[in-house]
Amino acid sequence: MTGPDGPASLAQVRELPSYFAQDVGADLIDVNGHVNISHYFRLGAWAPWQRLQDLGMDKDYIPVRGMSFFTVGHHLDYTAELREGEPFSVRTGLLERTDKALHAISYVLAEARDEIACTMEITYVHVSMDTRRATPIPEDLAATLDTEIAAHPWLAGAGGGLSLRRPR
Amino acid sequence: MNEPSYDDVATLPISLQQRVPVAFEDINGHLNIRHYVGIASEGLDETLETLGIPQLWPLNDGQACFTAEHHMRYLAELRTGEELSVRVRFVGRSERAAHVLVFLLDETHQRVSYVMEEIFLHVSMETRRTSPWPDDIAQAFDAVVEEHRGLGWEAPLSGSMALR
Repeated sequence: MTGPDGPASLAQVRELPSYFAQDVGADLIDVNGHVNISHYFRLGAWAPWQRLQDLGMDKDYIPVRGMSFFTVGHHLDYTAELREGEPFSVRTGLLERTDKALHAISYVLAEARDEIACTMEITYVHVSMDTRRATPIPEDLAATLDTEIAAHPWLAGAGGGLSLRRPR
Repeated sequence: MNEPSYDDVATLPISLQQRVPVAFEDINGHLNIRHYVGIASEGLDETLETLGIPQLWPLNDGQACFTAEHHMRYLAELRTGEELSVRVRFVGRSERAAHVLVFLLDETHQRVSYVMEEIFLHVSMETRRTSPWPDDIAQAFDAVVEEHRGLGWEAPLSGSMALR
Protein backbone atom coordinates (compact mmCIF):
# COMPACT_ATOMS: atom_id res chain seq x y z
CA MET A 1 0.00 0.00 0.00
CA THR A 2 2.92 2.31 -0.62
CA GLY A 3 2.08 5.01 -3.12
CA PRO A 4 4.22 7.78 -4.56
CA ASP A 5 3.48 9.92 -1.50
CA GLY A 6 4.25 7.16 0.97
CA PRO A 7 2.13 4.60 2.74
CA ALA A 8 -1.47 5.21 3.67
CA SER A 9 -2.12 5.07 7.38
CA LEU A 10 -4.60 2.63 8.80
CA ALA A 11 -6.44 5.51 10.43
CA GLN A 12 -7.01 7.01 6.99
CA VAL A 13 -8.13 3.66 5.56
CA ARG A 14 -10.61 3.32 8.42
CA GLU A 15 -12.21 6.65 7.44
CA LEU A 16 -13.30 5.13 4.14
CA PRO A 17 -16.79 3.62 3.93
CA SER A 18 -16.92 -0.02 5.01
CA TYR A 19 -18.54 -2.79 2.97
CA PHE A 20 -19.01 -6.53 3.50
CA ALA A 21 -17.82 -6.50 7.14
CA GLN A 22 -17.86 -10.14 8.32
CA ASP A 23 -15.85 -12.92 9.93
CA VAL A 24 -14.05 -15.26 7.52
CA GLY A 25 -16.31 -18.27 6.95
CA ALA A 26 -15.09 -21.76 6.04
CA ASP A 27 -16.50 -21.29 2.52
CA LEU A 28 -13.86 -18.62 1.76
CA ILE A 29 -10.93 -20.90 2.68
CA ASP A 30 -8.90 -22.64 -0.03
CA VAL A 31 -6.44 -25.53 -0.21
CA ASN A 32 -3.77 -23.23 1.26
CA GLY A 33 -5.83 -22.74 4.44
CA HIS A 34 -6.52 -19.03 3.94
CA VAL A 35 -9.01 -16.77 2.16
CA ASN A 36 -8.70 -17.51 -1.55
CA ILE A 37 -7.62 -14.54 -3.65
CA SER A 38 -10.76 -14.84 -5.78
CA HIS A 39 -12.72 -13.52 -2.79
CA TYR A 40 -10.43 -10.50 -2.40
CA PHE A 41 -10.96 -9.86 -6.08
CA ARG A 42 -14.75 -10.31 -5.94
CA LEU A 43 -15.31 -8.16 -2.84
CA GLY A 44 -12.65 -5.60 -3.76
CA ALA A 45 -14.26 -5.15 -7.18
CA TRP A 46 -17.81 -5.11 -5.83
CA ALA A 47 -17.24 -2.52 -3.08
CA PRO A 48 -16.64 0.51 -5.37
CA TRP A 49 -19.53 -0.58 -7.60
CA GLN A 50 -21.74 -0.71 -4.52
CA ARG A 51 -20.38 2.70 -3.52
CA LEU A 52 -21.29 4.16 -6.92
CA GLN A 53 -24.82 2.83 -6.49
CA ASP A 54 -25.02 4.32 -2.99
CA LEU A 55 -23.87 7.65 -4.46
CA GLY A 56 -26.67 7.67 -7.02
CA MET A 57 -25.63 5.55 -10.02
CA ASP A 58 -28.86 3.65 -9.57
CA LYS A 59 -30.33 0.56 -11.23
CA ASP A 60 -31.67 2.65 -14.15
CA TYR A 61 -28.19 3.75 -15.13
CA ILE A 62 -27.46 0.87 -17.52
CA PRO A 63 -30.95 -0.08 -18.84
CA VAL A 64 -32.53 3.41 -19.02
CA ARG A 65 -29.71 5.95 -19.29
CA GLY A 66 -27.75 3.51 -21.46
CA MET A 67 -24.35 4.01 -19.87
CA SER A 68 -22.01 2.02 -17.65
CA PHE A 69 -18.42 1.64 -16.51
CA PHE A 70 -16.23 -1.09 -18.04
CA THR A 71 -13.08 -2.13 -16.15
CA VAL A 72 -9.85 -1.61 -18.07
CA GLY A 73 -7.24 -2.36 -15.41
CA HIS A 74 -6.68 -4.00 -12.04
CA HIS A 75 -3.66 -4.06 -9.78
CA LEU A 76 -3.69 -6.24 -6.67
CA ASP A 77 -1.13 -6.56 -3.88
CA TYR A 78 -1.64 -9.42 -1.44
CA THR A 79 0.17 -8.41 1.72
CA ALA A 80 -1.19 -10.61 4.52
CA GLU A 81 -3.18 -13.81 4.94
CA LEU A 82 -6.71 -13.90 6.37
CA ARG A 83 -7.55 -17.13 8.22
CA GLU A 84 -10.89 -18.66 9.19
CA GLY A 85 -12.79 -16.74 11.87
CA GLU A 86 -10.92 -13.44 11.48
CA PRO A 87 -13.02 -10.28 11.12
CA PHE A 88 -12.46 -8.19 8.01
CA SER A 89 -14.03 -5.41 5.97
CA VAL A 90 -13.53 -3.83 2.57
CA ARG A 91 -12.84 -0.07 2.53
CA THR A 92 -13.25 1.72 -0.77
CA GLY A 93 -12.59 5.15 -2.23
CA LEU A 94 -12.12 7.12 -5.44
CA LEU A 95 -8.68 8.54 -6.36
CA GLU A 96 -9.21 10.55 -9.52
CA ARG A 97 -11.25 10.88 -12.69
CA THR A 98 -11.09 12.31 -16.19
CA ASP A 99 -14.07 13.12 -18.39
CA LYS A 100 -14.34 9.45 -19.45
CA ALA A 101 -12.40 7.44 -16.86
CA LEU A 102 -12.39 6.70 -13.15
CA HIS A 103 -9.79 5.31 -10.72
CA ALA A 104 -10.88 3.51 -7.52
CA ILE A 105 -9.15 1.61 -4.72
CA SER A 106 -10.26 -1.05 -2.24
CA TYR A 107 -8.50 -2.21 0.90
CA VAL A 108 -9.30 -5.56 2.51
CA LEU A 109 -8.65 -4.79 6.16
CA ALA A 110 -7.95 -7.48 8.77
CA GLU A 111 -9.88 -5.63 11.46
CA ALA A 112 -8.47 -7.43 14.51
CA ARG A 113 -4.83 -7.30 13.40
CA ASP A 114 -4.76 -3.79 11.94
CA GLU A 115 -3.25 -5.14 8.77
CA ILE A 116 -4.09 -4.73 5.10
CA ALA A 117 -4.61 -8.16 3.54
CA CYS A 118 -5.11 -6.89 0.00
CA THR A 119 -4.99 -3.60 -1.88
CA MET A 120 -6.87 -3.50 -5.16
CA GLU A 121 -6.72 -0.63 -7.63
CA ILE A 122 -9.25 -0.39 -10.43
CA THR A 123 -9.51 1.79 -13.53
CA TYR A 124 -12.75 2.09 -15.47
CA VAL A 125 -13.76 3.67 -18.74
CA HIS A 126 -17.24 5.20 -18.87
CA VAL A 127 -19.09 3.73 -21.87
CA SER A 128 -22.23 4.12 -23.91
CA MET A 129 -24.10 0.81 -23.99
CA ASP A 130 -25.20 1.62 -27.58
CA THR A 131 -21.73 1.92 -29.04
CA ARG A 132 -19.89 0.04 -26.25
CA ARG A 133 -17.26 2.80 -26.57
CA ALA A 134 -16.04 5.54 -24.22
CA THR A 135 -18.37 8.45 -23.62
CA PRO A 136 -18.16 11.38 -21.14
CA ILE A 137 -19.50 10.91 -17.62
CA PRO A 138 -22.74 12.96 -17.39
CA GLU A 139 -22.63 16.15 -15.31
CA ASP A 140 -24.78 14.96 -12.42
CA LEU A 141 -22.70 11.84 -11.82
CA ALA A 142 -19.42 13.72 -12.42
CA ALA A 143 -20.33 16.23 -9.68
CA THR A 144 -21.09 13.38 -7.28
CA LEU A 145 -17.78 11.68 -8.09
CA ASP A 146 -15.87 14.93 -7.57
CA THR A 147 -17.42 15.33 -4.11
CA GLU A 148 -16.43 11.77 -3.22
CA ILE A 149 -12.86 12.25 -4.53
CA ALA A 150 -12.53 15.50 -2.54
CA ALA A 151 -13.71 13.79 0.65
CA HIS A 152 -10.48 11.75 0.90
CA PRO A 153 -7.70 13.84 -0.66
CA TRP A 154 -4.94 11.56 0.67
CA LEU A 155 -6.11 8.89 -1.79
CA ALA A 156 -4.61 10.91 -4.66
CA GLY A 157 -1.22 9.62 -3.53
CA ALA A 158 -2.35 6.14 -2.53
CA GLY A 159 -2.22 4.54 -5.96
CA GLY A 160 0.83 3.14 -7.60
CA GLY A 161 -0.14 0.20 -9.75
CA LEU A 162 -2.43 2.07 -12.14
CA SER A 163 -2.96 5.61 -13.36
CA LEU A 164 -5.36 7.46 -15.62
CA ARG A 165 -2.48 9.60 -16.85
CA ARG A 166 -0.34 6.73 -18.12
CA PRO A 167 -1.09 5.54 -21.64
CA ARG A 168 -2.59 2.07 -21.56
CA MET B 1 5.30 -1.26 -24.35
CA ASN B 2 5.03 -3.28 -27.56
CA GLU B 3 1.64 -4.98 -27.47
CA PRO B 4 1.96 -8.54 -28.85
CA SER B 5 -0.47 -9.55 -31.59
CA TYR B 6 -2.81 -12.54 -31.54
CA ASP B 7 -0.36 -14.41 -33.78
CA ASP B 8 2.51 -13.65 -31.38
CA VAL B 9 0.67 -14.95 -28.30
CA ALA B 10 -0.65 -17.97 -30.23
CA THR B 11 2.96 -19.22 -30.45
CA LEU B 12 2.49 -20.28 -26.80
CA PRO B 13 0.86 -23.64 -26.11
CA ILE B 14 -2.83 -23.73 -25.11
CA SER B 15 -3.22 -24.26 -21.35
CA LEU B 16 -7.00 -24.35 -21.49
CA GLN B 17 -9.70 -23.73 -24.11
CA GLN B 18 -13.44 -23.12 -23.62
CA ARG B 19 -16.50 -21.17 -24.73
CA VAL B 20 -17.86 -18.31 -22.62
CA PRO B 21 -20.89 -19.81 -20.83
CA VAL B 22 -24.04 -17.71 -20.42
CA ALA B 23 -23.75 -18.03 -16.64
CA PHE B 24 -20.50 -16.00 -16.74
CA GLU B 25 -22.22 -12.96 -18.29
CA ASP B 26 -22.85 -9.89 -16.14
CA ILE B 27 -25.12 -6.84 -16.17
CA ASN B 28 -22.92 -5.29 -18.88
CA GLY B 29 -23.63 -8.25 -21.18
CA HIS B 30 -20.09 -9.62 -21.30
CA LEU B 31 -17.81 -12.05 -19.46
CA ASN B 32 -17.58 -10.71 -15.91
CA ILE B 33 -14.13 -9.60 -14.76
CA ARG B 34 -13.95 -12.14 -11.96
CA HIS B 35 -14.12 -14.95 -14.52
CA TYR B 36 -11.11 -13.55 -16.39
CA VAL B 37 -8.95 -14.06 -13.31
CA GLY B 38 -10.66 -17.39 -12.60
CA ILE B 39 -10.09 -18.81 -16.07
CA ALA B 40 -6.55 -17.38 -16.32
CA SER B 41 -5.64 -18.89 -12.92
CA GLU B 42 -7.05 -22.27 -13.95
CA GLY B 43 -4.92 -22.17 -17.08
CA LEU B 44 -1.86 -21.25 -15.02
CA ASP B 45 -2.57 -24.18 -12.66
CA GLU B 46 -2.70 -26.54 -15.66
CA THR B 47 0.65 -25.25 -16.90
CA LEU B 48 2.23 -25.47 -13.43
CA GLU B 49 1.08 -29.08 -13.27
CA THR B 50 3.12 -29.87 -16.39
CA LEU B 51 6.16 -28.33 -14.66
CA GLY B 52 5.85 -30.53 -11.58
CA ILE B 53 3.49 -28.55 -9.28
CA PRO B 54 0.33 -30.60 -8.67
CA GLN B 55 -2.87 -28.84 -7.59
CA LEU B 56 -2.86 -30.64 -4.23
CA TRP B 57 0.77 -29.69 -3.53
CA PRO B 58 -0.14 -27.96 -0.22
CA LEU B 59 -2.00 -30.98 1.14
CA ASN B 60 0.21 -33.77 -0.14
CA ASP B 61 3.63 -32.17 0.00
CA GLY B 62 3.43 -29.23 2.44
CA GLN B 63 4.44 -26.73 -0.26
CA ALA B 64 2.41 -24.04 -1.96
CA CYS B 65 2.40 -21.15 -4.40
CA PHE B 66 1.02 -17.93 -2.86
CA THR B 67 0.20 -15.06 -5.21
CA ALA B 68 1.92 -11.83 -4.19
CA GLU B 69 0.81 -9.46 -6.93
CA HIS B 70 -1.51 -9.20 -9.95
CA HIS B 71 -1.68 -6.62 -12.71
CA MET B 72 -4.54 -7.05 -15.16
CA ARG B 73 -5.41 -5.30 -18.40
CA TYR B 74 -8.73 -5.80 -20.18
CA LEU B 75 -8.21 -5.15 -23.88
CA ALA B 76 -11.35 -6.52 -25.55
CA GLU B 77 -14.73 -7.77 -24.38
CA LEU B 78 -15.58 -11.48 -24.49
CA ARG B 79 -19.28 -12.24 -25.11
CA THR B 80 -21.32 -15.37 -24.45
CA GLY B 81 -20.59 -18.24 -26.82
CA GLU B 82 -17.21 -16.93 -27.94
CA GLU B 83 -14.24 -19.27 -27.89
CA LEU B 84 -11.26 -18.39 -25.70
CA SER B 85 -7.89 -19.92 -24.91
CA VAL B 86 -5.38 -19.40 -22.10
CA ARG B 87 -1.64 -19.06 -22.83
CA VAL B 88 1.11 -18.73 -20.22
CA ARG B 89 4.47 -17.03 -20.75
CA PHE B 90 7.18 -17.45 -18.11
CA VAL B 91 9.09 -14.21 -17.64
CA GLY B 92 11.57 -15.17 -14.95
CA ARG B 93 12.16 -16.67 -11.54
CA SER B 94 14.23 -15.95 -8.47
CA GLU B 95 15.21 -18.22 -5.59
CA ARG B 96 11.70 -18.03 -4.07
CA ALA B 97 9.44 -16.35 -6.63
CA ALA B 98 8.25 -16.62 -10.23
CA HIS B 99 6.98 -14.01 -12.70
CA VAL B 100 4.48 -14.94 -15.42
CA LEU B 101 2.11 -13.44 -17.98
CA VAL B 102 -1.20 -15.17 -18.58
CA PHE B 103 -3.11 -14.22 -21.74
CA LEU B 104 -6.73 -14.82 -22.68
CA LEU B 105 -7.05 -15.01 -26.45
CA ASP B 106 -10.39 -14.35 -28.14
CA GLU B 107 -10.22 -17.21 -30.64
CA THR B 108 -13.45 -16.13 -32.36
CA HIS B 109 -12.08 -12.73 -33.42
CA GLN B 110 -8.40 -13.69 -33.19
CA ARG B 111 -7.42 -10.92 -30.79
CA VAL B 112 -5.83 -10.55 -27.35
CA SER B 113 -8.60 -10.01 -24.79
CA TYR B 114 -6.77 -9.94 -21.47
CA VAL B 115 -3.27 -9.83 -20.04
CA MET B 116 -2.66 -10.88 -16.42
CA GLU B 117 0.80 -10.37 -14.98
CA GLU B 118 1.52 -12.25 -11.76
CA ILE B 119 4.27 -12.83 -9.24
CA PHE B 120 3.87 -15.88 -7.01
CA LEU B 121 5.99 -17.14 -4.16
CA HIS B 122 7.09 -20.57 -3.02
CA VAL B 123 5.85 -21.10 0.53
CA SER B 124 6.50 -23.82 3.09
CA MET B 125 3.15 -24.75 4.63
CA GLU B 126 4.90 -25.55 7.91
CA THR B 127 6.20 -22.01 8.49
CA ARG B 128 3.81 -20.23 6.07
CA ARG B 129 6.90 -18.29 4.95
CA THR B 130 8.71 -18.19 1.63
CA SER B 131 11.33 -20.84 0.94
CA PRO B 132 13.54 -21.68 -2.07
CA TRP B 133 12.01 -23.58 -5.01
CA PRO B 134 12.91 -27.29 -4.97
CA ASP B 135 15.71 -28.06 -7.45
CA ASP B 136 13.54 -29.92 -9.98
CA ILE B 137 10.98 -27.09 -10.09
CA ALA B 138 13.71 -24.45 -10.36
CA GLN B 139 15.23 -26.32 -13.32
CA ALA B 140 11.84 -26.71 -15.01
CA PHE B 141 11.18 -22.96 -14.58
CA ASP B 142 14.62 -22.06 -15.95
CA ALA B 143 14.03 -24.21 -19.03
CA VAL B 144 10.64 -22.69 -19.80
CA VAL B 145 11.87 -19.11 -19.17
CA GLU B 146 14.71 -19.75 -21.62
CA GLU B 147 12.33 -21.27 -24.18
CA HIS B 148 9.93 -18.31 -23.94
CA ARG B 149 12.78 -15.80 -24.23
CA GLY B 150 13.31 -17.18 -27.73
CA LEU B 151 9.71 -16.69 -28.88
CA GLY B 152 10.56 -13.66 -30.97
CA TRP B 153 8.20 -11.16 -29.31
CA GLU B 154 8.72 -8.96 -26.31
CA ALA B 155 6.86 -9.72 -23.05
CA PRO B 156 4.45 -6.77 -22.43
CA LEU B 157 5.37 -6.08 -18.80
CA SER B 158 3.61 -3.41 -16.73
CA GLY B 159 6.76 -2.28 -14.94
CA SER B 160 4.75 -2.24 -11.73
CA MET B 161 6.25 -5.41 -10.23
CA ALA B 162 9.62 -7.14 -10.12
CA LEU B 163 11.14 -10.33 -8.78
CA ARG B 164 12.92 -10.13 -5.46
